[in-house]
Amino acid sequence: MTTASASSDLESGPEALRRLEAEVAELGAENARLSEYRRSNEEEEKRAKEMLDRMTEIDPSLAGHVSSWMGPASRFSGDIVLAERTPSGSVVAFLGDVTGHGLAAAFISVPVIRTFTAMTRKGFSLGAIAAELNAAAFANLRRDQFIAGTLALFDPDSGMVEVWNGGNPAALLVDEDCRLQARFRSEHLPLGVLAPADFDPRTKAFLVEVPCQLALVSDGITEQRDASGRRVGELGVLDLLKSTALPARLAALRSKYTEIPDREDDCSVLLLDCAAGGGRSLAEGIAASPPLPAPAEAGGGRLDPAWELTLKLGVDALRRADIVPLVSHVVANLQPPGHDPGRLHVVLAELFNNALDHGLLQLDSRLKDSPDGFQIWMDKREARLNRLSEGTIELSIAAGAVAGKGERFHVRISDSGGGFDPDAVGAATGLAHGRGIALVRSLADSLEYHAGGAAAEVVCAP
Amino acid sequence: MQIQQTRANGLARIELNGRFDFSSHRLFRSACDAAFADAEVKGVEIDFAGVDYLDSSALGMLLLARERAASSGRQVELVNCRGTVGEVLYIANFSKLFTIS
Repeated sequence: MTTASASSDLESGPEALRRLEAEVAELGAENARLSEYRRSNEEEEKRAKEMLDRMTEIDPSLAGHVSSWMGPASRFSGDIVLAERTPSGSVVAFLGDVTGHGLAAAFISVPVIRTFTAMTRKGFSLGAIAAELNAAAFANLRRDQFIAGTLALFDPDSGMVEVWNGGNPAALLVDEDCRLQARFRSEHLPLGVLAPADFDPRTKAFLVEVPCQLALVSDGITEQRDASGRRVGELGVLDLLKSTALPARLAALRSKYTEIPDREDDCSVLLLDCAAGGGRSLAEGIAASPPLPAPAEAGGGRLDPAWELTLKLGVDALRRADIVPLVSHVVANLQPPGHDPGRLHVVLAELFNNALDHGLLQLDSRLKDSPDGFQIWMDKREARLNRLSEGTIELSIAAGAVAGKGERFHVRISDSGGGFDPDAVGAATGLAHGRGIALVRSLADSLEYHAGGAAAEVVCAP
Repeated sequence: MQIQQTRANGLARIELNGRFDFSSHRLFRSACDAAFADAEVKGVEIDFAGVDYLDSSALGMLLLARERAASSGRQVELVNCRGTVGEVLYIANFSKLFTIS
Protein backbone atom coordinates (compact mmCIF):
# COMPACT_ATOMS: atom_id res chain seq x y z
CA MET A 1 0.00 0.00 0.00
CA THR A 2 1.26 3.46 -0.72
CA THR A 3 0.92 6.02 1.97
CA ALA A 4 1.83 9.20 0.44
CA SER A 5 1.21 12.59 -0.64
CA ALA A 6 -1.84 13.75 1.26
CA SER A 7 0.37 16.16 3.08
CA SER A 8 2.17 17.36 0.00
CA ASP A 9 1.68 21.09 -0.02
CA LEU A 10 3.26 21.53 -3.45
CA GLU A 11 0.09 20.26 -5.09
CA SER A 12 -3.30 21.81 -4.90
CA GLY A 13 -6.54 22.12 -6.79
CA PRO A 14 -9.03 19.53 -8.07
CA GLU A 15 -6.27 17.13 -9.21
CA ALA A 16 -4.88 16.79 -5.66
CA LEU A 17 -8.35 16.50 -4.20
CA ARG A 18 -9.22 13.65 -6.54
CA ARG A 19 -6.06 11.87 -5.61
CA LEU A 20 -6.78 12.32 -1.93
CA GLU A 21 -10.29 10.91 -2.39
CA ALA A 22 -8.88 7.91 -4.24
CA GLU A 23 -6.39 7.28 -1.49
CA VAL A 24 -9.02 7.51 1.22
CA ALA A 25 -11.20 5.07 -0.73
CA GLU A 26 -8.25 2.71 -1.18
CA LEU A 27 -7.46 2.98 2.54
CA GLY A 28 -11.06 2.11 3.40
CA ALA A 29 -10.98 -0.91 1.11
CA GLU A 30 -7.66 -2.02 2.57
CA ASN A 31 -9.13 -1.70 6.04
CA ALA A 32 -12.09 -3.86 5.08
CA ARG A 33 -9.75 -6.47 3.60
CA LEU A 34 -7.69 -6.49 6.78
CA SER A 35 -10.78 -6.84 8.96
CA GLU A 36 -12.00 -9.69 6.79
CA TYR A 37 -8.57 -11.31 6.93
CA ARG A 38 -8.49 -10.99 10.69
CA ARG A 39 -11.97 -12.39 11.06
CA SER A 40 -11.28 -15.44 8.88
CA ASN A 41 -7.91 -15.93 10.54
CA GLU A 42 -9.53 -15.94 13.96
CA GLU A 43 -12.17 -18.34 12.74
CA GLU A 44 -9.52 -20.72 11.40
CA GLU A 45 -7.49 -20.48 14.60
CA LYS A 46 -10.61 -21.21 16.60
CA ARG A 47 -11.28 -24.34 14.56
CA ALA A 48 -7.67 -25.50 14.76
CA LYS A 49 -7.78 -24.98 18.51
CA GLU A 50 -11.02 -26.94 18.84
CA MET A 51 -9.52 -29.79 16.83
CA LEU A 52 -6.34 -29.92 18.91
CA ASP A 53 -8.33 -29.68 22.15
CA ARG A 54 -10.46 -32.62 21.05
CA MET A 55 -7.40 -34.67 20.16
CA THR A 56 -5.72 -34.02 23.49
CA GLU A 57 -8.78 -34.27 25.72
CA ILE A 58 -8.14 -36.72 28.55
CA ASP A 59 -10.75 -39.46 28.95
CA PRO A 60 -13.02 -38.33 31.83
CA SER A 61 -12.86 -41.83 33.33
CA LEU A 62 -9.18 -41.14 34.07
CA ALA A 63 -10.04 -38.06 36.12
CA GLY A 64 -9.37 -39.94 39.35
CA HIS A 65 -5.86 -40.93 38.20
CA VAL A 66 -4.52 -38.09 36.14
CA SER A 67 -4.68 -34.36 36.65
CA SER A 68 -2.96 -31.80 34.52
CA TRP A 69 -2.59 -28.15 33.91
CA MET A 70 -1.21 -26.29 30.91
CA GLY A 71 -0.18 -22.66 30.62
CA PRO A 72 0.60 -21.89 27.00
CA ALA A 73 2.77 -18.87 26.23
CA SER A 74 0.43 -18.07 23.35
CA ARG A 75 -2.97 -19.24 22.22
CA PHE A 76 -1.59 -22.61 21.12
CA SER A 77 0.57 -24.73 23.35
CA GLY A 78 3.72 -26.42 22.10
CA ASP A 79 3.42 -28.67 25.12
CA ILE A 80 1.35 -31.83 24.87
CA VAL A 81 -0.30 -33.60 27.80
CA LEU A 82 -2.00 -36.93 27.09
CA ALA A 83 -3.27 -39.93 29.03
CA GLU A 84 -4.89 -43.18 27.97
CA ARG A 85 -5.83 -46.48 29.52
CA THR A 86 -4.37 -49.72 28.14
CA PRO A 87 -6.60 -52.74 27.49
CA SER A 88 -5.28 -54.37 30.66
CA GLY A 89 -6.14 -51.40 32.86
CA SER A 90 -2.80 -49.61 33.22
CA VAL A 91 -2.66 -45.87 32.71
CA VAL A 92 -0.12 -44.36 30.32
CA ALA A 93 0.61 -40.62 30.44
CA PHE A 94 2.70 -38.48 28.11
CA LEU A 95 4.12 -35.00 28.56
CA GLY A 96 5.80 -33.57 25.46
CA ASP A 97 7.50 -30.26 24.76
CA VAL A 98 7.83 -29.41 21.07
CA THR A 99 10.64 -27.13 19.87
CA GLY A 100 9.22 -23.62 19.68
CA HIS A 101 5.66 -22.73 20.57
CA GLY A 102 2.43 -21.41 19.11
CA LEU A 103 0.42 -22.83 16.22
CA ALA A 104 3.42 -24.29 14.34
CA ALA A 105 4.54 -26.27 17.39
CA ALA A 106 1.00 -27.41 18.15
CA PHE A 107 0.55 -28.49 14.55
CA ILE A 108 3.63 -30.70 14.36
CA SER A 109 2.50 -32.50 17.49
CA VAL A 110 -0.50 -34.00 15.66
CA PRO A 111 1.14 -37.18 14.31
CA VAL A 112 2.64 -37.84 17.73
CA ILE A 113 -0.71 -37.43 19.49
CA ARG A 114 -2.38 -39.87 17.11
CA THR A 115 0.41 -42.42 17.49
CA PHE A 116 0.28 -42.22 21.29
CA THR A 117 -3.45 -42.79 21.40
CA ALA A 118 -3.45 -45.70 18.96
CA MET A 119 -0.44 -47.50 20.45
CA THR A 120 -1.66 -47.19 24.04
CA ARG A 121 -5.20 -48.33 23.30
CA LYS A 122 -3.76 -51.40 21.58
CA GLY A 123 -1.76 -52.24 24.68
CA PHE A 124 1.80 -51.93 23.36
CA SER A 125 4.61 -51.81 25.89
CA LEU A 126 5.95 -48.43 27.04
CA GLY A 127 9.22 -48.95 25.14
CA ALA A 128 7.32 -49.80 21.94
CA ILE A 129 5.16 -46.68 22.34
CA ALA A 130 8.30 -44.56 22.83
CA ALA A 131 9.90 -46.07 19.71
CA GLU A 132 6.80 -45.38 17.64
CA LEU A 133 6.50 -41.78 18.90
CA ASN A 134 10.14 -41.27 17.96
CA ALA A 135 9.54 -42.71 14.51
CA ALA A 136 6.49 -40.45 14.01
CA ALA A 137 8.47 -37.40 15.14
CA PHE A 138 11.52 -38.34 13.06
CA ALA A 139 9.39 -38.75 9.94
CA ASN A 140 7.43 -35.53 10.37
CA LEU A 141 9.75 -32.99 11.95
CA ARG A 142 12.55 -30.92 10.43
CA ARG A 143 16.04 -31.99 11.45
CA ASP A 144 16.38 -29.05 13.85
CA GLN A 145 13.08 -29.82 15.58
CA PHE A 146 12.34 -32.40 18.23
CA ILE A 147 10.00 -33.19 21.08
CA ALA A 148 11.30 -33.56 24.61
CA GLY A 149 9.02 -36.26 25.95
CA THR A 150 8.25 -38.29 29.06
CA LEU A 151 6.13 -41.41 28.95
CA ALA A 152 4.93 -42.90 32.22
CA LEU A 153 2.96 -46.06 32.87
CA PHE A 154 1.30 -47.09 36.10
CA ASP A 155 -0.03 -50.62 36.53
CA PRO A 156 -2.38 -50.63 39.55
CA ASP A 157 -2.35 -54.44 39.73
CA SER A 158 1.35 -54.79 40.34
CA GLY A 159 2.11 -51.28 41.59
CA MET A 160 4.73 -50.81 38.90
CA VAL A 161 5.68 -47.34 37.71
CA GLU A 162 7.59 -47.33 34.43
CA VAL A 163 9.11 -44.25 32.80
CA TRP A 164 10.87 -43.33 29.56
CA ASN A 165 12.26 -39.78 29.72
CA GLY A 166 13.96 -38.13 26.75
CA GLY A 167 14.90 -34.51 27.34
CA ASN A 168 12.38 -33.43 29.98
CA PRO A 169 13.09 -32.44 33.60
CA ALA A 170 13.18 -35.47 35.90
CA ALA A 171 9.83 -37.08 36.71
CA LEU A 172 9.45 -37.12 40.50
CA LEU A 173 7.61 -39.81 42.45
CA VAL A 174 6.48 -38.50 45.84
CA ASP A 175 4.46 -40.35 48.45
CA GLU A 176 1.60 -39.13 50.68
CA ASP A 177 4.04 -38.15 53.41
CA CYS A 178 5.78 -35.94 50.86
CA ARG A 179 8.91 -38.09 50.65
CA LEU A 180 10.70 -38.53 47.38
CA GLN A 181 10.42 -42.21 46.43
CA ALA A 182 12.04 -42.18 43.00
CA ARG A 183 13.40 -39.81 40.42
CA PHE A 184 13.33 -40.62 36.71
CA ARG A 185 15.83 -38.35 35.03
CA SER A 186 16.17 -37.84 31.30
CA GLU A 187 18.24 -40.74 30.01
CA HIS A 188 17.53 -40.37 26.32
CA LEU A 189 17.69 -37.90 23.49
CA PRO A 190 14.39 -36.15 22.76
CA LEU A 191 11.92 -37.75 20.33
CA GLY A 192 12.63 -37.16 16.65
CA VAL A 193 16.41 -36.76 16.97
CA LEU A 194 17.54 -40.32 16.32
CA ALA A 195 16.63 -42.43 13.30
CA PRO A 196 14.39 -45.36 14.32
CA ALA A 197 17.28 -47.83 14.00
CA ASP A 198 19.34 -45.90 16.59
CA PHE A 199 16.50 -45.34 19.04
CA ASP A 200 16.87 -46.62 22.60
CA PRO A 201 13.49 -47.73 24.01
CA ARG A 202 14.76 -48.82 27.41
CA THR A 203 12.67 -47.70 30.35
CA LYS A 204 13.16 -47.44 34.11
CA ALA A 205 10.79 -49.05 36.58
CA PHE A 206 9.95 -48.72 40.25
CA LEU A 207 7.54 -50.59 42.48
CA VAL A 208 5.34 -48.44 44.72
CA GLU A 209 4.65 -49.83 48.15
CA VAL A 210 2.65 -46.86 49.43
CA PRO A 211 0.33 -44.55 47.50
CA CYS A 212 2.38 -42.09 45.47
CA GLN A 213 2.01 -39.43 42.87
CA LEU A 214 4.28 -39.04 39.85
CA ALA A 215 4.85 -35.45 38.72
CA LEU A 216 5.86 -34.63 35.15
CA VAL A 217 6.70 -31.01 34.28
CA SER A 218 7.94 -29.27 31.16
CA ASP A 219 11.03 -27.09 31.28
CA GLY A 220 8.80 -24.02 31.01
CA ILE A 221 8.32 -24.63 34.76
CA THR A 222 11.90 -25.42 35.78
CA GLU A 223 13.36 -22.59 33.68
CA GLN A 224 11.22 -19.96 35.37
CA ARG A 225 12.86 -17.55 37.74
CA ASP A 226 11.52 -16.50 41.10
CA ALA A 227 11.34 -12.92 42.39
CA SER A 228 15.04 -12.96 43.28
CA GLY A 229 16.02 -14.21 39.81
CA ARG A 230 16.80 -17.78 40.85
CA ARG A 231 15.81 -20.61 38.52
CA VAL A 232 13.00 -22.79 39.87
CA GLY A 233 14.85 -25.91 38.74
CA GLU A 234 14.00 -29.46 39.67
CA LEU A 235 14.63 -28.70 43.34
CA GLY A 236 12.04 -25.93 43.31
CA VAL A 237 9.44 -28.32 41.97
CA LEU A 238 10.47 -30.96 44.50
CA ASP A 239 10.26 -28.50 47.40
CA LEU A 240 6.76 -27.61 46.38
CA LEU A 241 5.70 -31.24 45.99
CA LYS A 242 7.16 -32.02 49.39
CA SER A 243 5.44 -29.13 51.10
CA THR A 244 1.94 -29.74 49.73
CA ALA A 245 -0.45 -32.53 50.55
CA LEU A 246 -1.63 -34.70 47.66
CA PRO A 247 -5.01 -33.27 46.72
CA ALA A 248 -3.78 -29.68 46.69
CA ARG A 249 -0.62 -30.21 44.67
CA LEU A 250 -1.89 -29.31 41.25
CA ALA A 251 -3.46 -26.10 42.54
CA ALA A 252 -0.26 -25.23 44.39
CA LEU A 253 1.96 -25.82 41.34
CA ARG A 254 -0.43 -23.87 39.22
CA SER A 255 -0.63 -20.83 41.43
CA LYS A 256 3.08 -20.78 42.19
CA TYR A 257 4.58 -21.27 38.75
CA THR A 258 2.02 -20.04 36.35
CA GLU A 259 0.86 -16.67 37.58
CA ILE A 260 3.95 -15.14 36.06
CA PRO A 261 3.03 -12.50 33.47
CA ASP A 262 4.56 -12.58 29.97
CA ARG A 263 5.60 -16.17 30.13
CA GLU A 264 8.10 -16.91 27.39
CA ASP A 265 7.68 -20.66 27.27
CA ASP A 266 4.77 -23.08 27.54
CA CYS A 267 4.34 -24.54 31.01
CA SER A 268 2.66 -27.81 31.81
CA VAL A 269 2.24 -30.16 34.72
CA LEU A 270 0.85 -33.69 34.79
CA LEU A 271 0.25 -35.61 38.01
CA LEU A 272 -0.32 -39.36 37.80
CA ASP A 273 -1.72 -41.10 40.89
CA CYS A 274 0.13 -44.31 41.63
CA ALA A 275 -1.75 -46.20 44.33
CA ALA A 276 -1.48 -49.95 44.02
CA GLY A 277 -4.73 -51.70 44.73
CA GLY A 278 -4.80 -55.28 43.53
CA GLY A 279 -7.53 -55.61 40.96
CA ARG A 280 -8.69 -52.03 41.10
CA SER A 281 -8.16 -51.56 37.40
CA LEU A 282 -10.30 -54.59 36.77
CA ALA A 283 -13.19 -53.30 38.79
CA GLU A 284 -13.13 -50.17 36.65
CA GLY A 285 -12.17 -51.47 33.30
CA ILE A 286 -13.20 -55.04 32.73
CA ALA A 287 -16.08 -56.96 34.23
CA ALA A 288 -15.47 -60.53 35.34
CA SER A 289 -16.81 -63.33 33.15
CA PRO A 290 -20.59 -63.04 32.97
CA PRO A 291 -22.33 -65.78 34.93
CA LEU A 292 -22.90 -68.89 32.88
CA PRO A 293 -26.44 -69.62 31.85
CA ALA A 294 -27.88 -72.73 33.43
CA PRO A 295 -26.58 -75.80 31.59
CA ALA A 296 -29.89 -76.57 29.93
CA GLU A 297 -28.37 -78.84 27.34
CA ALA A 298 -25.08 -80.18 28.56
CA GLY A 299 -23.40 -80.38 25.19
CA GLY A 300 -19.95 -81.24 26.46
CA GLY A 301 -18.79 -77.64 26.05
CA ARG A 302 -17.18 -78.14 22.65
CA LEU A 303 -16.35 -75.05 20.72
CA ASP A 304 -17.54 -74.66 17.17
CA PRO A 305 -14.91 -72.25 15.86
CA ALA A 306 -15.86 -69.20 13.85
CA TRP A 307 -12.12 -68.70 13.36
CA GLU A 308 -8.86 -70.02 14.71
CA LEU A 309 -5.51 -68.32 14.87
CA THR A 310 -2.24 -70.18 15.41
CA LEU A 311 1.20 -68.66 15.82
CA LYS A 312 4.56 -70.28 16.34
CA LEU A 313 7.26 -67.89 17.45
CA GLY A 314 10.99 -68.52 17.35
CA VAL A 315 13.68 -66.60 19.17
CA ASP A 316 14.09 -63.83 16.59
CA ALA A 317 10.37 -63.11 16.43
CA LEU A 318 10.18 -63.08 20.24
CA ARG A 319 13.00 -60.56 20.39
CA ARG A 320 11.64 -58.38 17.63
CA ALA A 321 7.92 -58.06 18.20
CA ASP A 322 5.60 -56.99 20.98
CA ILE A 323 3.43 -60.07 20.46
CA VAL A 324 0.35 -59.57 22.64
CA PRO A 325 -0.86 -56.25 21.17
CA LEU A 326 -0.30 -57.62 17.67
CA VAL A 327 -2.45 -60.65 18.40
CA SER A 328 -5.06 -58.49 20.16
CA HIS A 329 -5.19 -56.32 17.07
CA VAL A 330 -5.77 -59.28 14.75
CA VAL A 331 -8.48 -60.61 17.07
CA ALA A 332 -10.21 -57.22 17.18
CA ASN A 333 -10.42 -57.35 13.38
CA LEU A 334 -11.78 -60.89 13.33
CA GLN A 335 -14.44 -60.21 15.95
CA PRO A 336 -17.75 -58.45 15.28
CA PRO A 337 -17.73 -54.65 15.67
CA GLY A 338 -17.91 -53.46 19.27
CA HIS A 339 -15.57 -56.19 20.52
CA ASP A 340 -14.04 -55.20 23.86
CA PRO A 341 -10.39 -56.31 23.81
CA GLY A 342 -9.85 -56.00 27.56
CA ARG A 343 -10.44 -59.48 28.93
CA LEU A 344 -8.65 -61.43 26.21
CA HIS A 345 -5.76 -58.96 26.27
CA VAL A 346 -5.19 -59.51 29.99
CA VAL A 347 -5.43 -63.29 29.61
CA LEU A 348 -3.01 -63.31 26.67
CA ALA A 349 -0.58 -60.93 28.34
CA GLU A 350 -0.42 -62.95 31.57
CA LEU A 351 -0.08 -66.33 29.87
CA PHE A 352 2.35 -65.14 27.24
CA ASN A 353 4.57 -63.36 29.77
CA ASN A 354 4.57 -66.43 32.00
CA ALA A 355 5.60 -68.60 29.05
CA LEU A 356 8.38 -66.21 28.07
CA ASP A 357 9.62 -65.07 31.49
CA HIS A 358 9.33 -68.33 33.42
CA GLY A 359 9.27 -70.93 30.66
CA LEU A 360 11.95 -69.74 28.25
CA LEU A 361 13.93 -67.20 30.27
CA GLN A 362 13.66 -69.03 33.61
CA LEU A 363 13.37 -65.77 35.57
CA ASP A 364 12.57 -65.98 39.25
CA SER A 365 9.55 -63.87 40.29
CA ARG A 366 11.08 -63.19 43.69
CA LEU A 367 13.41 -60.78 41.93
CA LYS A 368 10.50 -58.34 41.83
CA ASP A 369 9.97 -58.17 45.58
CA SER A 370 11.90 -55.01 46.34
CA PRO A 371 11.26 -51.45 45.20
CA ASP A 372 14.12 -51.68 42.72
CA GLY A 373 13.16 -55.24 41.90
CA PHE A 374 11.23 -54.38 38.78
CA GLN A 375 14.25 -52.66 37.34
CA ILE A 376 16.47 -55.63 38.13
CA TRP A 377 13.82 -57.91 36.66
CA MET A 378 13.55 -55.90 33.45
CA ASP A 379 17.32 -55.67 33.04
CA LYS A 380 17.71 -59.43 33.52
CA ARG A 381 14.81 -60.12 31.22
CA GLU A 382 16.37 -58.02 28.48
CA ALA A 383 19.80 -59.59 28.95
CA ARG A 384 18.46 -63.14 28.89
CA LEU A 385 16.24 -62.50 25.91
CA ASN A 386 19.25 -61.14 24.01
CA ARG A 387 21.27 -64.22 24.90
CA LEU A 388 18.49 -66.72 24.24
CA SER A 389 19.65 -69.09 21.51
CA GLU A 390 16.70 -71.43 21.16
CA GLY A 391 13.09 -71.75 22.19
CA THR A 392 9.60 -71.36 20.80
CA ILE A 393 6.25 -70.22 22.07
CA GLU A 394 3.12 -71.51 20.41
CA LEU A 395 -0.13 -69.70 20.75
CA SER A 396 -3.56 -70.52 19.44
CA ILE A 397 -6.88 -68.80 19.86
CA ALA A 398 -10.20 -70.08 18.63
CA ALA A 399 -13.46 -68.17 18.86
CA GLY A 400 -16.93 -69.56 18.54
CA ALA A 401 -20.10 -70.65 20.24
CA VAL A 402 -19.96 -73.19 23.04
CA ALA A 403 -23.19 -75.05 23.63
CA GLY A 404 -24.87 -73.73 26.74
CA LYS A 405 -22.34 -70.95 27.24
CA GLY A 406 -22.55 -68.70 24.23
CA GLU A 407 -19.58 -67.07 22.57
CA ARG A 408 -16.20 -68.10 24.04
CA PHE A 409 -12.48 -67.84 23.33
CA HIS A 410 -10.37 -70.95 23.67
CA VAL A 411 -6.74 -69.95 24.24
CA ARG A 412 -3.72 -72.27 24.33
CA ILE A 413 -0.18 -71.10 24.98
CA SER A 414 2.78 -73.42 25.33
CA ASP A 415 6.53 -72.98 25.43
CA SER A 416 9.50 -75.21 24.75
CA GLY A 417 11.11 -74.25 28.05
CA GLY A 418 11.25 -76.08 31.32
CA GLY A 419 7.77 -75.07 32.43
CA PHE A 420 7.15 -73.69 35.91
CA ASP A 421 5.13 -74.44 38.99
CA PRO A 422 1.95 -72.40 38.58
CA ASP A 423 0.90 -73.17 42.15
CA ALA A 424 4.12 -71.77 43.56
CA VAL A 425 3.85 -68.64 41.43
CA GLY A 426 0.14 -68.25 42.05
CA ALA A 427 0.26 -68.76 45.82
CA ALA A 428 2.28 -65.69 46.60
CA THR A 429 -0.52 -63.14 46.54
CA GLY A 430 0.19 -59.89 48.28
CA LEU A 431 3.62 -59.73 46.76
CA ALA A 432 4.57 -57.91 43.62
CA HIS A 433 4.42 -61.11 41.67
CA GLY A 434 1.97 -63.94 41.51
CA ARG A 435 -1.12 -61.91 40.87
CA GLY A 436 -1.19 -62.80 37.20
CA ILE A 437 -2.55 -66.30 37.51
CA ALA A 438 -5.17 -65.27 40.07
CA LEU A 439 -6.17 -62.52 37.69
CA VAL A 440 -6.61 -64.93 34.79
CA ARG A 441 -8.66 -67.27 36.99
CA SER A 442 -10.97 -64.42 37.99
CA LEU A 443 -11.53 -63.42 34.37
CA ALA A 444 -11.85 -66.84 32.76
CA ASP A 445 -14.28 -69.74 32.92
CA SER A 446 -11.35 -72.08 33.39
CA LEU A 447 -7.55 -72.16 33.47
CA GLU A 448 -5.64 -75.43 33.25
CA TYR A 449 -1.94 -76.16 33.15
CA HIS A 450 -0.46 -79.16 31.41
CA ALA A 451 3.02 -80.51 30.77
CA GLY A 452 4.43 -79.35 34.10
CA GLY A 453 3.36 -75.75 33.56
CA ALA A 454 4.70 -75.51 30.01
CA ALA A 455 1.22 -75.40 28.45
CA ALA A 456 -1.76 -73.35 29.60
CA GLU A 457 -5.33 -73.57 28.41
CA VAL A 458 -8.04 -71.00 29.05
CA VAL A 459 -11.69 -70.69 28.14
CA CYS A 460 -13.08 -67.21 28.58
CA ALA A 461 -15.93 -65.01 27.42
CA PRO A 462 -15.12 -62.38 24.77
CA MET B 1 24.70 -13.15 20.79
CA GLN B 2 28.20 -12.48 19.54
CA ILE B 3 30.43 -14.96 17.79
CA GLN B 4 34.20 -15.07 17.43
CA GLN B 5 35.98 -17.50 15.20
CA THR B 6 39.55 -18.70 15.32
CA ARG B 7 41.46 -21.40 13.44
CA ALA B 8 44.42 -23.41 14.61
CA ASN B 9 45.86 -26.73 13.46
CA GLY B 10 42.85 -27.70 11.41
CA LEU B 11 40.48 -26.94 14.27
CA ALA B 12 37.82 -24.24 13.91
CA ARG B 13 36.85 -22.73 17.22
CA ILE B 14 33.50 -20.93 17.41
CA GLU B 15 33.18 -18.87 20.59
CA LEU B 16 29.63 -17.94 21.51
CA ASN B 17 28.77 -15.05 23.82
CA GLY B 18 25.39 -14.13 25.29
CA ARG B 19 22.02 -15.78 24.78
CA PHE B 20 22.02 -18.64 22.29
CA ASP B 21 18.44 -18.81 20.99
CA PHE B 22 16.47 -18.49 17.79
CA SER B 23 17.60 -14.91 17.23
CA SER B 24 21.17 -16.18 16.80
CA HIS B 25 20.13 -18.49 14.00
CA ARG B 26 21.67 -16.58 11.07
CA LEU B 27 24.85 -15.65 12.90
CA PHE B 28 25.48 -19.21 14.05
CA ARG B 29 24.73 -20.64 10.66
CA SER B 30 27.14 -18.35 8.86
CA ALA B 31 29.88 -19.18 11.38
CA CYS B 32 29.32 -22.88 10.69
CA ASP B 33 29.20 -22.26 6.93
CA ALA B 34 32.58 -20.55 7.09
CA ALA B 35 34.11 -23.40 9.10
CA PHE B 36 32.70 -26.16 6.91
CA ALA B 37 33.66 -24.38 3.69
CA ASP B 38 37.31 -24.46 4.74
CA ALA B 39 38.89 -27.72 3.57
CA GLU B 40 41.68 -27.28 6.14
CA VAL B 41 39.13 -27.58 8.96
CA LYS B 42 39.07 -31.16 10.26
CA GLY B 43 36.95 -30.51 13.33
CA VAL B 44 34.79 -27.83 14.93
CA GLU B 45 34.84 -26.80 18.56
CA ILE B 46 31.94 -24.73 19.87
CA ASP B 47 32.89 -22.82 23.00
CA PHE B 48 30.05 -22.10 25.43
CA ALA B 49 32.12 -20.29 28.08
CA GLY B 50 30.36 -17.00 27.35
CA VAL B 51 26.85 -18.40 26.92
CA ASP B 52 24.47 -17.74 29.77
CA TYR B 53 21.36 -19.30 28.26
CA LEU B 54 20.37 -21.64 25.46
CA ASP B 55 16.92 -22.79 24.39
CA SER B 56 15.54 -25.68 22.41
CA SER B 57 15.96 -23.93 19.05
CA ALA B 58 19.68 -23.61 19.90
CA LEU B 59 19.73 -27.37 20.47
CA GLY B 60 18.11 -27.73 17.06
CA MET B 61 20.87 -25.61 15.49
CA LEU B 62 23.48 -27.84 17.11
CA LEU B 63 21.75 -30.89 15.63
CA LEU B 64 21.90 -29.32 12.17
CA ALA B 65 25.57 -28.41 12.62
CA ARG B 66 26.33 -31.98 13.69
CA GLU B 67 24.51 -33.41 10.69
CA ARG B 68 26.38 -31.13 8.28
CA ALA B 69 29.70 -31.95 9.94
CA ALA B 70 29.03 -35.67 9.81
CA SER B 71 28.20 -35.53 6.10
CA SER B 72 31.75 -34.30 5.45
CA GLY B 73 33.30 -36.67 7.99
CA ARG B 74 33.97 -34.05 10.66
CA GLN B 75 33.31 -33.94 14.38
CA VAL B 76 31.66 -31.19 16.41
CA GLU B 77 32.77 -30.81 20.02
CA LEU B 78 31.04 -28.70 22.66
CA VAL B 79 33.44 -27.21 25.19
CA ASN B 80 33.20 -25.18 28.42
CA CYS B 81 29.60 -26.25 29.04
CA ARG B 82 28.97 -25.19 32.61
CA GLY B 83 26.04 -24.20 34.80
CA THR B 84 22.68 -23.90 33.13
CA VAL B 85 24.16 -24.58 29.69
CA GLY B 86 25.66 -27.85 30.87
CA GLU B 87 22.40 -28.77 32.55
CA VAL B 88 20.30 -28.16 29.44
CA LEU B 89 22.69 -30.26 27.33
CA TYR B 90 22.71 -32.94 30.02
CA ILE B 91 18.91 -33.16 30.26
CA ALA B 92 18.68 -33.39 26.46
CA ASN B 93 21.31 -36.16 26.60
CA PHE B 94 23.38 -34.45 23.91
CA SER B 95 26.40 -36.29 25.26
CA LYS B 96 25.12 -39.22 23.21
CA LEU B 97 25.68 -37.18 20.05
CA PHE B 98 28.55 -34.82 20.88
CA THR B 99 31.74 -34.88 22.86
CA ILE B 100 30.93 -32.43 25.66
CA SER B 101 33.37 -30.98 28.15
